[in-house]
This record gives sequence, C-alpha cells and structure tokens, in this order.
Amino acid sequence: MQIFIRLILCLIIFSLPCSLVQANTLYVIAHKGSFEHTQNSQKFADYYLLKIKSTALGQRIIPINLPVNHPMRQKFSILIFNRSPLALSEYWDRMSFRGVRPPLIQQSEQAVVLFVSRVKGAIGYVSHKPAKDSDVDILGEISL
Amino acid sequence: MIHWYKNLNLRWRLAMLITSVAIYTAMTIALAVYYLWTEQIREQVSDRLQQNTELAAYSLGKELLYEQNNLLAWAQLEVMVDIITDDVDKRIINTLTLLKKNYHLAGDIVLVNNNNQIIASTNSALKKIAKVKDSMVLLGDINTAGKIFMRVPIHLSILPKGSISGYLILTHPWKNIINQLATPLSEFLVVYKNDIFHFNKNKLVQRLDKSKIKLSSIYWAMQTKEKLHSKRINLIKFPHSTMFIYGIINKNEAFKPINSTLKLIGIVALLLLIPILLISIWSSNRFLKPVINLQRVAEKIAESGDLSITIPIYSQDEIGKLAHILNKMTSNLKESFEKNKQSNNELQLLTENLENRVQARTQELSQTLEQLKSAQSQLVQSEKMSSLGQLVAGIAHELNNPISSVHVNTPMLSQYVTDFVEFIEFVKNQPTLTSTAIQEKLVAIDYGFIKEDIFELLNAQQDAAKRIRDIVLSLRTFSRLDEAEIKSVDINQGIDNTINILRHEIKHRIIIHKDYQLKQVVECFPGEINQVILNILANAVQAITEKGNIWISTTLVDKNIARISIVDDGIGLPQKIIDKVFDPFFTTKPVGVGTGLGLSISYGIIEKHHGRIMVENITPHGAKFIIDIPIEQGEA
Repeated sequence: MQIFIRLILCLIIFSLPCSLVQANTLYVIAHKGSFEHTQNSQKFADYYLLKIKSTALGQRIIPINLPVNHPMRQKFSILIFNRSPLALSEYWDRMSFRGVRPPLIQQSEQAVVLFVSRVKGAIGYVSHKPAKDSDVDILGEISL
Repeated sequence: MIHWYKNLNLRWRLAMLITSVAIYTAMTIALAVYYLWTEQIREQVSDRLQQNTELAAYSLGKELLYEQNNLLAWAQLEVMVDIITDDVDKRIINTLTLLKKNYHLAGDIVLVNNNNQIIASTNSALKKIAKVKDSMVLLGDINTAGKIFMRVPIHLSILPKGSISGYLILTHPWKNIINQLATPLSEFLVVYKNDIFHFNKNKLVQRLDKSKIKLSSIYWAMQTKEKLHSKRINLIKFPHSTMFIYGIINKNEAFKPINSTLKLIGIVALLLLIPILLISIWSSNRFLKPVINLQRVAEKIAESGDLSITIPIYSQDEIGKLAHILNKMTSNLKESFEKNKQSNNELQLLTENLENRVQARTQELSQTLEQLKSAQSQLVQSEKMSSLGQLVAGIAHELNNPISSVHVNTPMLSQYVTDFVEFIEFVKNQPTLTSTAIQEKLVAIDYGFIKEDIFELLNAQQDAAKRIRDIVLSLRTFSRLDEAEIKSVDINQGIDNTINILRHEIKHRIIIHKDYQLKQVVECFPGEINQVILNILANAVQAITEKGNIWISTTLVDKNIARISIVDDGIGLPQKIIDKVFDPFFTTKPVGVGTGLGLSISYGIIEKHHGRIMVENITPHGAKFIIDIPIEQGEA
C-alpha cells in the first residue's frame, strides 16, 4: 500500500510541471464506481453545495476542496458556482446553522486524489488527469 | 541513701524537698506536654504522609485524565481526516508537533491507522509502535524506559458511524510519573500486579515480589521498623488492573521535631535546675532562719546548762509560739532540776542508811550461811558416820568370822606343834628306840588325827587370812581414798566391791543377780560413785525384810551414757513419798537409824557428774533406781 501511495505521489510530482504548464483542463474525479459519469456543471455544483447529499447508489457524497487560496479552487469556484470561494463563505455560514458543514479541504491535489480514491462517495477536482490504475473515476473534464 | 539523707541538716533537706517538688512538677508538665505534643506530631506526620500520598496520586490521576480528555479532543480535530491520505500533506504531524509543544508534553503523540502503521508522530525516530488493545496500558520497564500508553480511536464524521480510521496515541514516560510522584513524596512504594517497586526520590531502591510479602504487616515492604507508610491509595486505574501507591517516610525524619523538642526540654530543664536549686536554698534559709536561731539558743542552753537563758521571740507565728513554749519548758525544767537536786540529796542520805543496813544484814546473812554450811557439814558428817557405823558393824562381823577362826584354830595348832616338838625331843633323847616305842609315842600324841587335822587347820587359817585380806582390799577399793580426782574406772568392779562390803547383810538372805553389759570405763570420782551405789544397795538391803532379790545391771545407752540399774523386790516406796526421796532430811527410817541425807547426797554426786538419778516403784513391790552417768565428763 505504501509503495503504491509513493508511486502515485511520484507520478503526481513529476507530472506537476507539465500540468501547471498545461492547466487547461479541470478534471472532476470521484471514488471509483460511486457516481455516474456526467459533464453537467450544475450537477457538480449540487454535489459541492451538498444540495445532493447522496449518490444514486445511496452513498453519502463527500466533496473535497482545495485550500481557498489554491488557484484551482478559484477556477473551480468560478466555473462551477460562478462565484469566488470568498463569496461562497456566506452560503456555508448559513448552512452551518443547519448542521451542514462545508466540504473537506485537502492541501494538495495529490491528497485530493488519494482521498477520493480511498473514500466511497468522495468527489474532488484536480488539474491533472489521474492515472488509469488509480481507484478514481473522472466524472467530467472542464476546459478552462 | 536513707542514711545519707538522715545525716543532712534540715536546711539541705528542705532545699532538696523544694527542688525535688519543683523538678517533679516541671518534669511532669514537660512530660505531659511532650507526650501530647508527640502524639500530635505523630498524628500530623501520619496525616501529612497520607495527604501527600493522596495528593501525589490525585495530581497524577488528574494529569492523566487531563491528557486523556485532551487526547479525545485531539482525535476530534478536523485535520485527523488526513489519516485517510496518510497525512501526505503533513498537516497531522504539524498539528501533533504543535500540540506537544503547546501542552508541554513529555511523551509523544502518535497517530496510527487500523493496521498500526504510524501515520504521524511527534517522534521522528519512532518507526514502530507496539500494538495495544486497551485504552490505557503500561508498557516497558516501570523504572526507566517504561511508558503509559493512552489510546483513543479516530472516528471520522465523513465515514459511517462506528468505523474507526485509526488511533491517536499519547505516551507518558514512567520516568516523568516518578518525578511527579517524588515531588510531594520523598519515598514511596508502587504496587502493580505482582510487583512492588520501592522508590526513594526518583530512584528505584528495590523491586519486591508481592506474593512473598504480607501486605497486612506495617513493615511489609521495608522489613524494618524504621519506616512508616500511608494507607493504600489508587494511583492509576488500568482497564484490567489498578496500580497502587504507598507513601513512606523514615521514622527518624518524621519524628525529628520530637527529638529536637526532647533535646530542647532537656536543655531547658538543665538551665532551670540551677535557678530552682538557688531559689530552694534561699527559701529554705529564709524559712529555717528562726528555727536555726532556736537551735543555737537550745544548743547554748544544752552546753552551758544555764536554764536561765531565754530564747528571743521575734514573731507570733508557729516559730514564735515554739520559742515561747521552749522558754516555758526551760523555766519548768529549772524548777524541776532544783526539786530534783533536793530530792537527790534526800535520796543520797536514804541510800547511805540503806547501804549501812544492807551491809549489816549481809554480815548477818554471811554468818548465818557459815553456820548453815557448818550445820550441813555436820549433817553430812553425821550421815557419813551413820553409814560408817552400819558399815563398820557389818565389816566387823565379816572380819570377826575369819579372825575367830584364826583365834580358835591357833591353840589347836599350837598344841599340835607342841606334840610334834615333844615327839622330836623324845626321839632325839633315846637314840635306841624301837619302832614299837615310836609307834606307841605316835599313838600317844594321836599322830594320825593330827596329821589330817593340822592341814585342815592350816587351810582354814589360810582361808580366814584370805577372807580378811579380801575385805580389807574391798574397803580400800571402795573408799578410793587415794583417788580424789576424776579417773576412768570399771564401774562393774566398783559395784562388786560394794557388794563385798555389804556381804554380811546380804548372805543367806538376798540373792544378787548381776548383768554387767557395760564394757567401757567411765570417767568419774570412783569413791563418790561407790558411795552412791552403797547408799542405794544399802537401802535395797534394808527394804528386803526377810529374803529377796536384788538385780544389778550395767549397760551403755545413747552411745555415751553408762546406766546402772538397781532393782529390788523389797517393800518398795509409797507413791506419795517417791517424789521426796531425794529431798534432804527425808527418811522413812526410825529416828537415829538414818539421817535422810543418803539419797540427797547421792543426788548431788550424780549431778556433779552431769548425770541423773531416777527412782520408780516396781509392781507388785520393790523399787528401781537408775543412774545415768556420761562415760566422758567432757562430753556431758
């Protein structure tokens, strides 16, 4: 398992410059087999705003965000919610009073990939395409 | 000690008494205070030890609980979700490091996943960690590298309820616990499972096996009487066992204040002794000064004999009253002395008169005594003469027979000798005599008869002479005039001589039965003892009126007493006079026959020989005299 994690990490690290350079596509990823494949941005927004809380298979949806100041977070927020992360904070403040917590944050895209691959119902986004042998499905590719 | 105390004068005795009372009082108070204080100290020491032990256990328990609560809180941190990503972003490890730093933890915080793999740890050198099942457990040595592991599960809210993603572990070094316990306790015991760990400060002194030690014994751990320990306190409650602690303290250390107090009391007592002694001496001097004055005046009166001296009276207290009484006493004494002096003078005159009268009376008594002695001597002499008279009569009769025989036979012998001379002359003058003529002459002188009779006469003469010689010899032996001092003699021989002297009275009338068993010689005055035997035998002979028997026996009794027993079957002694027979002048004989002194003198003689003489009646008639004499006069 450790070896596998390290391998993935190495792949991500070596592919990072390439993705930074390329950074033209945003990949929405999910735990393998948890979600249906879709290109619908609204669907992603519903997932992330926890308007839809479980998958069609009945699994709890666990959205994963990157840190607020992460460039991909900014882009993802604009693209999906048409709002900046800061603007969304008001929404989550209100949701907090209803007992709904905002998506979990992972510091890096590697962590996002790892998390999504290990937790059922997890959904995230990364700027690079995950390896085929990773336990994630690419739900959608959004051009930046 | 008492003798020494009695020799002290009153001043010192009073001083000692006051000092003793003061010291006794002070010591009693000091001892009472010391005792109460000691009890209080003991109680305080015990309480303090118990409190310190409880405090140590409470502090540790509180800290462990605090850590457990913290651990639970830390497990709820959002960052713990990174356990899913194996903390790839190092957020957990950063958080744990920060927590360790901020909470000043001595141990480490470790996050492990379900496979016990370390995900994050504050100790980078830690590569592996023991897999534990309980929420709290002690791992490793209790002394050095040992650690308490506290573990809480990581429940992530994003995962299904009840699922555990890993464990957050907090280690607490045992060394840290020991240091913490050693703060309030200088010495303590930690009991865990089957082991007892004895710590002094933070050092392990010894490790004991609990199964081999009686926990009920107060000295169970130390095996010595020099330690005190607290009650058992729960230290750490592990899921399956509890760790206990006993606080310990050295007795010397605990009771140091008591010893210090004892020393202080001793020093104070010594310091107080001198002033107490001085005050006692001063007080006794002050109290006794009037008494001493009294004593001096009394001594002066006693030495000078001047009863006109009076004691000055300074006060009206008891001493003043005593002085007044003494003055009165001396006054009375003076009067008494004067009266006494007068009485003495009178008494002296009376005494002189009395002495003169006593002297005169003494002189009279001396003369009377001399007269009495003379009378006694005359009486004794009279008794002797009486006895002698009887003896002489008997002896004269005894001597008369052989002498008469000699006297009668002598003419016959003379005639025979004359006939023999004539016959010899006849033969000498007629040389031519025939045998017929000689024969005729022999017939004429009756030679045949003479030849037989002359020898008979000679024998008779010889017998008579022998009898006379025996009587004289007996008399001489009896009287023993040449033996006026103590000699060892054969008593049996003396009895025989006495019988010989009395033979005239005895023969043809009295049968003497002798039984001499005494073989030893007896130290005595032989003449006097013979006189006693003669007196008794003579009385016995006189008591037998016609014919009778006398039994004489000698024997040794009690190894050194010669006993002479003389028994007769005469008329005996009436019971009413038997007690008087040894009284002087007592006699049953007619006047002029006896003096009544024979047995009295005999009694005196036997007493002189340190012996005794006894008399008793014999049934149906007769008397028995018993004489006991020591065979050696020195032993009597």
